[in-house]
Amino acid sequence: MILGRALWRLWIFLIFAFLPAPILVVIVSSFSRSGYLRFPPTEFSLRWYGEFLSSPIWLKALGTSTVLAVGVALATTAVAFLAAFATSRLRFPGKGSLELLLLSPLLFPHAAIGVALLGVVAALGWIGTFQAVALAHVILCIPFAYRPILNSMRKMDLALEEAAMSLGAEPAYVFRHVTLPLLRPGLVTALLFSFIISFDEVTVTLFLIGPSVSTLPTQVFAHILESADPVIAAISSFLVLVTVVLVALLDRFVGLELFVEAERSR
Amino acid sequence: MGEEKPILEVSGVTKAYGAALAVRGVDLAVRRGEFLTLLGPSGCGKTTLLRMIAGFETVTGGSIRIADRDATRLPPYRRNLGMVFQNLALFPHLTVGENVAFGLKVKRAPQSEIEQGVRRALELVELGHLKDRAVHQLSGGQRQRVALARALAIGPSLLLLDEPLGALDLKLRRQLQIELKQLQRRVGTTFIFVTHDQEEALGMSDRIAVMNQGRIEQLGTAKEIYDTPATAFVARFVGDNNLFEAQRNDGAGRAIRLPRLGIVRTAPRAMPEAQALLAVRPENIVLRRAPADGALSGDIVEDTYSGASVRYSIAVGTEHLVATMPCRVGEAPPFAKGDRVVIDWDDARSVLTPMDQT
Ligand SMILES: Nc1ncnc2c1ncn2[C@@H]1O[C@H](COP(=O)(O)OP(=O)(O)O)[C@@H](O)[C@H]1O
Ligand SMILES: [Mg+2]
Repeated sequence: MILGRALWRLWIFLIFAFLPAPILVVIVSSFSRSGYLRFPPTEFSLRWYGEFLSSPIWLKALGTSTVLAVGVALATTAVAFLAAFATSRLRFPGKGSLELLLLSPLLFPHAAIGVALLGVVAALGWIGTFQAVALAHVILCIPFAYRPILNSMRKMDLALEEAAMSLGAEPAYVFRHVTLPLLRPGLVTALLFSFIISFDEVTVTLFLIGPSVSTLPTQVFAHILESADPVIAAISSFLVLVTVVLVALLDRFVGLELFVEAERSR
Repeated sequence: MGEEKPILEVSGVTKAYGAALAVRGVDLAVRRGEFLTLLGPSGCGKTTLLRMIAGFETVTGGSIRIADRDATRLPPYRRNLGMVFQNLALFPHLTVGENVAFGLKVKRAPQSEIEQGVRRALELVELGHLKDRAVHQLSGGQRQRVALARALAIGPSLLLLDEPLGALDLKLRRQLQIELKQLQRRVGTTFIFVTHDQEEALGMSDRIAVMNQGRIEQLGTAKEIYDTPATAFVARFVGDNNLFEAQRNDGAGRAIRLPRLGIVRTAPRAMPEAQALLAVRPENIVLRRAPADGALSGDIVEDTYSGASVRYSIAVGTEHLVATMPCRVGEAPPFAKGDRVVIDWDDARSVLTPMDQT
């Protein structure tokens, strides 16, 4: 009995130890001094971080990724807000199908989405352009932005808007001073998650980039095909850091429950 | 100026949801400064009527005038009404003071005026010391008062209250009823108060509109409603009543027969219709000890003691009557279960109402 409990605890411990193990290996390797990836490193240095932050290629990719992720986060949140507003407040035919459509990027393999988007992008004449990648990222991020916004809308008491109106507030004022502040947790969650997903996305992006546009993760992917120097570990560690910091901020300031929360009946 | 115009005039207002009518042709004139209660069972259309007055629902038919101005199509934010919601709807992201200031800020009042207005409104409900509290730190009764202060701060021409005391426990409820009534006297604002609790309505209102199935069945003071219910529904809904089917027993309609009890009594008024209902309040029923020759008698099948009074349930053949009698300290209740009693009442205290429509 006691032995069983001890084994169970060991098992849980091992799971939590090994889940992040690959990431830890990468982070440790990134501080290596030698010219090739190796674990554990024999000597430590910040050499590869210096390499990352001084190379125009990497910096350009970082810039592209950042601008892209910010733009995608804003656009996705705006679209998801309108969609959540429509599905939670209005009644119209095809509402069920719209919800399914918004969540559908979760259902398909990313490679399939990549191929499909390549067709769309070709039709638009956007092959290898920044806007092609942005469009793809918005589509991929929508399910992750839609859910938290929808959840915060469902939580909101509509009588609050009526109360504001009875106090003389016109619809625009009500939206600005009542609706928006009360939806803020959902909107912040949507913004940060969209940013993270766009910032880390590889699979679909690979289908759409061209010689003139490359994001940080796709640049890493291209680089790794040719060489195995630890700059890749340094960049990956940087990506992990950005993600962890953003998730921690989110957890600290608005909590993660809007994102995880199951569908609630009204 | 002639006679003062009503502050609110509802004329022939109807609300249809699909084929169902929630409100059917309501006419109502509310006087400036009065405390008017809409009383009726759940689902009778009180909230719908109130929301049409507030402008949150469109009317299907009829018109609404507020402060002598046609408001039928006016959006809610142009009606200058205060509203206290059933769930209060306090802004959770604002403090008590900011909640109360909301309406004044909307009007872009100068800062000094806002501060003064907030202070005055909070003092009115005796919450001046809680100005900087978050809403979630308040008790139920305090929230109630914040909602009142917020609505009154804008100086509304009417205050609409939709069952604002419904969620509170009985004791707090009784206390707030008194406070609310006193507050209304003090500020002099016209209140339209919605409740399904007839005791609440009787205790607080200048006038009561009793609603049933989307209609106002009777409008009058608490005393009028209680003493002379205009319809069988009102007789049944407001207070307890014994209702007997009554048939005209002579040409003048002064003698009436109560077939279920097998007796003839004098009608409280001339009865033009062939059939009606006779209502007798339990406290107007007089019980005496049997025997008495020829009089109506029955057996007490249940006695319920409730402090100041005893309530007797009496079987007369297959019929049931209810009578209440006062009960004094140190005295045993006058009758007990199993007693045989003679039943009587003062005919002048009985009321004839039309038969139910159904
Ligand atoms: N939005 C709506 N859609 C359809 N029916 C409604 C709606 N609102 C109220 N009703 C119906 O109208 C009637 C009156 O409701 P309501 O005014 O809420 O009654 P009360 O406040 O007296 O309990 C009820 O039968 C209710 O089901
Ligand atoms: Mg109601």
